[in-house]
Amino acid sequence: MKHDDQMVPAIGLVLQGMLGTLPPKGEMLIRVDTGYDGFLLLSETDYKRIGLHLSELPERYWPEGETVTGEVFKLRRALSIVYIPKAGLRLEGHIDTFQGNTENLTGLNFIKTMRLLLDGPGQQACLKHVFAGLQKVINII
Amino acid sequence: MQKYGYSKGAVSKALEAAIKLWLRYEYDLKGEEELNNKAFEEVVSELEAKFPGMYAVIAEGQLSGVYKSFEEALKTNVREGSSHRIIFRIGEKPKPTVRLGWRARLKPAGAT
Repeated sequence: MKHDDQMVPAIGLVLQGMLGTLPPKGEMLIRVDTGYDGFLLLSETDYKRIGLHLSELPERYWPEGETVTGEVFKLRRALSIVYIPKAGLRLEGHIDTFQGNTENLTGLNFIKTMRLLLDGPGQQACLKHVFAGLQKVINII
Repeated sequence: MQKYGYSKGAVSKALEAAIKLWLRYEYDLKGEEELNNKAFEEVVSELEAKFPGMYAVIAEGQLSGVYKSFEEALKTNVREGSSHRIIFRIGEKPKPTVRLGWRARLKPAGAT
């Protein structure tokens, strides 16, 4: 995990959609926002760009999102595969978006299978992913 | 009124923001989206009884197939020009509400 250009903790990810990957090459830094309790929130543009409208959940399962200022509205939701290349991890989860959203964020549901050690002074962190009884510790700066 | 920050156009901006929020609450499903969601409602009970835990694909208003893994479901062909498709894990019921946190917010209506 790294910090992005605004010194906010971020994870280098690759998202797989029906129409390609985001980004097409390399990885993109997506901020960790523990105030968001979903898996991954994408901007409307990125959501369409990789074709998540072609792997959407039924409308019945689109959640309601609530902002900190109390506005409530419907999100669109799709299933997708997310890779953390530097850790060699593959995760399957729900990607959300909403009308007018321009932010890309990873939420609590994304990091629930991991242990993250934040190193503020070093502007980096260790990702400790726990699966099948095996502990894998990776410094992925 | 000026003492309390009133400015010309404040009421229309507030109305604009309220209408935007109201329109944002529900998505208006059209075309393939509507067809696929109708097809989902028709087949969901049967799928939950027969194939729990598997992945179903609904496209062009009908069930395209049921697969063991999400990768297999993703590999099903998409018709050229297709605008929508449903893929879901049978029996999985995601949490109906999401807290969006500090970063995700609506665009302000703008200055008056």
